[in-house]
Amino acid sequence: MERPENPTCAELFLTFAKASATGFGGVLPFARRMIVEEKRWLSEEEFADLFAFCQFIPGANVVNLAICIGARYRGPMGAIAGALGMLVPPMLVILLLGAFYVQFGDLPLAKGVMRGLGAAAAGLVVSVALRLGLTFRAKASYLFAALAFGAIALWRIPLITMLAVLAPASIGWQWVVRRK
Amino acid sequence: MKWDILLDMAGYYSTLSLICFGGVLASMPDVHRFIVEQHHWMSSEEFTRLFGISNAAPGPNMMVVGMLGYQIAGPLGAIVSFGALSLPSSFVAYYTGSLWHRMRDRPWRMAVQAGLTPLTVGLLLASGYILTMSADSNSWPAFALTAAVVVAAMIWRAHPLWLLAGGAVLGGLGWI
Repeated sequence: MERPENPTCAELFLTFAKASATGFGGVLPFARRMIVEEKRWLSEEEFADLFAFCQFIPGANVVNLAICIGARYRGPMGAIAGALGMLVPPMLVILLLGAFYVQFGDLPLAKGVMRGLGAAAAGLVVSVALRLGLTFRAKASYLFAALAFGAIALWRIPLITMLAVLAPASIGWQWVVRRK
Repeated sequence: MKWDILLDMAGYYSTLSLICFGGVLASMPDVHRFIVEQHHWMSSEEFTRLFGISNAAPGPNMMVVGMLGYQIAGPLGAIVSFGALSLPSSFVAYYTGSLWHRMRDRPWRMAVQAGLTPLTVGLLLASGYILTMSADSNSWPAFALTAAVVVAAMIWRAHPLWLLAGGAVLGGLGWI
């Protein structure tokens, strides 16, 4: 796949602003589509790799993603442009929504719309997880993914505990396999 | 009085910013403890409602924190909470991100990366599961909608906005 030229700060800001402004129910599906399919800044695998890192460090993962991609292309200014693109539009929406909620939050129509959006948004998150899972190269990766899922979703183990146990195990396994 | 609240929020969120591994969604129980149980700034019901709205609005999951801040201390509360939660982790991302990229050909780095990806997928799936459980509880039409969205996004690569718009319309019609 052909690589486009390095994006400018303005392009970084606008791309992430568009992803965050349209990213109902979480920006990740929109950011992935924009970065991998439309702009082609990263391949599917590079995106999965970078996102795994952004998920691992603290903070909002999509903001971290915008900072890492911005910094990679345009240094500190690119990082700032990416972060602002990710943060400014939702901040404006929150200020508007906060005022609207006080006025109209109890209308049945508003409640119905919120329920429909919530159910569809849940499906989008599941689809992103499944699609990233398709990039696995080793069968054992599915086992570690299943364990992480069970720990958080089913057994409600604290996140930090899950990472402290599974991260060294999964990384160690990769290390051993790769040395052979 | 209001400045005390803003200062409390700034202190709490800037700390949370550095320890919220796995994103904001995973830290919601702790935010609930801080706002509802420790400071009694709002009821638990109000907290849950605001969480629901923020999830339906565009933007990163962390927006819920701005929404909560708005209800507690007005627009300034939203900006302070949002800023305090974003800034510290942004510096971490900036400094570790470029280091991470420079090391991309080292074997240890590739092992770390390949080892972390499955955990991310598991965590994302867990978020999807928890969202599905809270959005679709006791409602089979809502569950059917969620399942249809998964299929449409996976197989036909439908644009997320269309899927959400469909969900909003069905919800507005009172079918969900």
